[in-house]
Amino acid sequence: MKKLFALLLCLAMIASMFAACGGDDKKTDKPAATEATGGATTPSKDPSDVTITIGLPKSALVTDYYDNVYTKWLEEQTGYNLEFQFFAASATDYKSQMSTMVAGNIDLPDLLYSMNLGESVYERYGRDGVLVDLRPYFDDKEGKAAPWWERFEALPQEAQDNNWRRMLSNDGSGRIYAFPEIQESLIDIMDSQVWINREWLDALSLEMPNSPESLYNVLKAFKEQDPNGNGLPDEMPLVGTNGNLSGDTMSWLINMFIYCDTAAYFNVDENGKLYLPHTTDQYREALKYIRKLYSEGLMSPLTLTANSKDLTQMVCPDEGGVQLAGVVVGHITLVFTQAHEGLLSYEALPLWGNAIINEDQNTRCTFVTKSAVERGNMDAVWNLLMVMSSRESSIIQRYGEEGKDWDWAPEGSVSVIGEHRAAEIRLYQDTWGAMGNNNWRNVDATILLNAEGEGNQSVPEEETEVNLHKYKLFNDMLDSYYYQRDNFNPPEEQICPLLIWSQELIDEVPYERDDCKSYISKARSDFITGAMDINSDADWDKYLAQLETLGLSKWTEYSQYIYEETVAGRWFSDLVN
Amino acid sequence: MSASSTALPVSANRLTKGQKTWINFKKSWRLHLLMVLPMLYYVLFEALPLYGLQIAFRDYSPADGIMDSAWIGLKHYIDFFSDWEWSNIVVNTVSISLYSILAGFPIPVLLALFIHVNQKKVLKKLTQNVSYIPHFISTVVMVGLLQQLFHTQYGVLAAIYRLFGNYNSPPDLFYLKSSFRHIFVWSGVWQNMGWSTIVYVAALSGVSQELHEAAKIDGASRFRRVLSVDLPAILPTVSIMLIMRFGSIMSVGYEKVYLMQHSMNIDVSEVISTYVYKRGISAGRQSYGTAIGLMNSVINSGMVILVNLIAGWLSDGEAGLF
Amino acid sequence: MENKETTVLTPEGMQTAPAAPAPVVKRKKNGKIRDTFGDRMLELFTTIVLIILLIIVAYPVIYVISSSFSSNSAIVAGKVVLWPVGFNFDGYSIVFKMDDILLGYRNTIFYTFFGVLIKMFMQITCAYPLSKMNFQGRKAYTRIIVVTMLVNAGMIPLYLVKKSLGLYDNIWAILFSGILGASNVFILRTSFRSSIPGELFDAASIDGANDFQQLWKIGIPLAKATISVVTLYAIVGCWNEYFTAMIYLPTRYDLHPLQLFLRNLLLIATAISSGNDPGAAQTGNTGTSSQQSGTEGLEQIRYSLIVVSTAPVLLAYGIVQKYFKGGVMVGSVKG
Repeated sequence: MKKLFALLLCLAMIASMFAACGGDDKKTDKPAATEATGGATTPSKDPSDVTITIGLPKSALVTDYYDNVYTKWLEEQTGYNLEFQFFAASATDYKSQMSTMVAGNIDLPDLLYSMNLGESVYERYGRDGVLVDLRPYFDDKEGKAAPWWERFEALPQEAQDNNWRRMLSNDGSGRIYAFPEIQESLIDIMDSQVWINREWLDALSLEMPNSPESLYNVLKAFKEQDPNGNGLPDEMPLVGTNGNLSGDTMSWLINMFIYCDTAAYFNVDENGKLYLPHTTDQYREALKYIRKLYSEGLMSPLTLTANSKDLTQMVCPDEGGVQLAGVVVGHITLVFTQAHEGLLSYEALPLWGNAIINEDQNTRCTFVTKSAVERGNMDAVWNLLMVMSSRESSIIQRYGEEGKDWDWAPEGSVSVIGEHRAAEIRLYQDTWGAMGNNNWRNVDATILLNAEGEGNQSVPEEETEVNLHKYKLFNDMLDSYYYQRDNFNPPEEQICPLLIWSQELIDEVPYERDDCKSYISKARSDFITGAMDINSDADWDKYLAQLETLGLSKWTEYSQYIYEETVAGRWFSDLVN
Repeated sequence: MSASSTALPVSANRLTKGQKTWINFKKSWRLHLLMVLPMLYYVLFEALPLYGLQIAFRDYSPADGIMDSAWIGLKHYIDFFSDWEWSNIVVNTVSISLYSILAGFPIPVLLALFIHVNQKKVLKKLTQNVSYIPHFISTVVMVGLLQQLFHTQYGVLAAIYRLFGNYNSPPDLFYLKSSFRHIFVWSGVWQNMGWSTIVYVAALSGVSQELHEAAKIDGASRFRRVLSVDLPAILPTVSIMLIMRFGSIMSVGYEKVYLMQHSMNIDVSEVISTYVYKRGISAGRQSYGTAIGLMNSVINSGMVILVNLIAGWLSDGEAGLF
Repeated sequence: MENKETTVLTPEGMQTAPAAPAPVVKRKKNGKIRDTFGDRMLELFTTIVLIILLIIVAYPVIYVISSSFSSNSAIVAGKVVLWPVGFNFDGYSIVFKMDDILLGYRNTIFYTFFGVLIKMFMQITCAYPLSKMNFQGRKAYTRIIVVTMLVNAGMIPLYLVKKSLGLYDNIWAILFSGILGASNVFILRTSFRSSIPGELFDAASIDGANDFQQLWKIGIPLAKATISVVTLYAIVGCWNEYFTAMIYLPTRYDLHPLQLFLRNLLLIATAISSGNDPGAAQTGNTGTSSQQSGTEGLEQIRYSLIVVSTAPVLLAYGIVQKYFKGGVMVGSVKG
């Protein structure tokens, strides 16, 4: 009898499961899908009736998305209700989730933040109608898109061109699926910010290094002569991050030898032909140098894998700790603990070698999905996007609460960085790396201009010694950067612009680019760690041969074509202005 | 013939096949009832999906649905084999798998024997219970732990180096290509060896006491007894476990590998499952991922059947799953 | 043990042959057979090995527990080797205040409890009939199960089926996934078959018990050892589950299990860079400042998280393990 009862229970469960099938109870009623043609007027709804769903990966630093300064500000400005759908943190997982949702024809949120889909995928989703074409909205320069254009046109022309090219769908149709994130930032554009421990230099009576050889000698001295004075050989002469923002150690070291851009990859030679610097002898020299540093223990193996936060203890140790890092490569606000005395020991290393013109590398964007159209929210969503990209919104998203974290700078304020610039805001504290609810720790869909950004803060009288030193460091680093650009960089014609690949071309060479890029990265690690011998001609030739096998020639050939078209102004010529 | 009022409808030796089946059924209907739900489960979740399996041969687009997506036959497989990585991926998968078996299979057996042989009750119980603990740690935690332990600056290895006065960084074992397989496999052994002994300890404790007594009386030392009584007794169990292990040789679970991957070790760490996940599902190429997954699963099944046949043949039908 | 004399037939006729010398078996005072030297060596050897093993297994576990009570700076500076340094409860107090963790806990406990019930119910009801050698459908059913073991349609086809059945976006997606693994079924089947003497069932039949009653009163109690092992497999499986939730419940944050939260948190904290992500810039620069870092608060809670998420399942083990007596039931049927 007990068994029978248990069986009945089971049948009941199955029945309820089928019942669940019938009721998609979470989904809102869907009106018939309308095409989002430009200017289509849906009957205007009362704002408070509109609920917009935003999908994004939940940041561990945000304590509450709903009871949140930014959310509340947005809701106040627009009158809409905002709802969140949280996705996985890792990019691959996020993409998988989206992929399965698309495969199953599941309702997506209206807006998808932080999407980094990769060209072919989002072109495909666009084609399948999953994403909404925003071009008609962008074209409405006087009307719906006016606020955005006002902000956008404050950017330098080159930045405008680059961003616009990137926004265009690469199927050549002129459609735009990606609502961009645009962050102009003086400091952040540097591939590598390099800081050297001045106290150690002074303790050992050393001069600032200004060449690979002198750098080597300084590092060696750091290692052998116990500059931190604790009697232990625990110093780590050089440490950096693996490509974290402004912490690309490899890029800095390699660029001492040859101009090598990790985003554009190619250089242009005197005849206007593209070539890959990673195949040149100078690159090999660079790798030999790095290998020497690595094998002699002058460069920490952490450099190949670390994130900025891994380095913090080495420069800003806790109570009772000692400084361990001689030369540190990383973004000053990420590596150093804010307001920590450790910063005072460091100075900007006046750089030599090439300075990468770090194109705005934002490949992240926001998408509007067909759900917005199906729910009749399209106009509201666009309106929200306009608000999000506005000035105040961008500042709040980056810095937090007005009055608490920042304030408008008084008239005539001058920035602390690059003194010719006027300052718009005054920052009290940078809360980006801390937990809180003052924004979403995510600057998608915003446009933050230099004048509003971190580089521009007025100099109040109450600044601490550490902060003043920090601003000095910013300025020194900037000076160094511009000096490099003027004195070391190759002429502009030899620097390759960002090349946009059209879907058509991608279909012809689907694998060669990624394969070569992966191999370059992998081979570099191998040469540095010694898995491949950089001094052996056989290994080097093997490396070159493998690149050929992977399709280097084809990649170069197609890139050459894109390059020539771009320079002639014929590529994706659907440019504004 | 007795005139019986309660005679069977038909004489017992002349029941038809169908009637026999029916009678059997009436006897065992309850057992059949027990099987209903499981069978329903298998139909729904193992058989039905086979319909969708055809997207492996189509260019699946959700907008078109399964039936209307373009049929492209074996194109996905051609794509896979023209990808220069494919042989590397397969080699990685098989070698990691084999290594795991070679390293990980004998240890629990030996461990179970040691536990069984040892006389100290406290030690036995303690070892068993403590050795089970790693099994409960989830993969994410395990990998995080490994990262921390092998950290070149803050890890335990670095601390040990410093203890001996060596302030150089230890080799970055977690990320280096040369150490990936070893760390991967041995951490797996560490995690699972205790738990895997359960089956063998159970088998060992089931060995007839009389056999042991007889051997003792014949003067066999404990060691001798292990060799001639215990080992043969658990051989069937061991062989079944080994068969099942070999049967999954082409499947290295994606999760742990995925968490441990880095551009530095990618060419030894990319296995089929991670490839399917990253280049298939995650990249929006659902049908491609399904196609490669299908291929993998077919090979796996082939292995299971093959290994099972071999085992059956080797042991004259003794060992084997079915 | 006496020396036996035997009679053998020799050409000279029946004679008593001298008995074979009896093996010399030393006895201890209390009459037990004394160990040989070889035995003692064996004992020593196994003891040493087991102790080494104990250390190897226990050390990382101790390290984790100690770190969870240590101060952040001590951990990061590599000062923690065995015992906590800078003992504090900070990690735990932060963890228990995190809403996500509490939510995840609640969900996972729910999924584990009901998931295990469902799994065990299904697995036992499937295995029991298969263990009866004379069961009418046994061969057919077994073949079906074996086939499912061999043939696997993969993630997307299964996803499509589940979605059309409505097993998406709700708890049933989790509760009805992976509940009938063939290997567990076979383990249980073997146990029913070989650890319970057939005579017991025959006796019960004669007494008038039907199949259900036999399963309930004889099968399950006597196969307790194996069932408890399989239950533990189920508990661990349900407790550590995250992938199904990630794919089938992407937008239902309120239904996410603990491991999924854990994964997100730990992934951010360790910032594992999968350098082969197509679409991500090779250098890892994915935008503006610190989108990938900012883990100040997270270092110290990592170990507390690990302990907090693993401890309950260890507790479950502690409870269930007294049922493992390992193996065969001897002597339940006399004669």
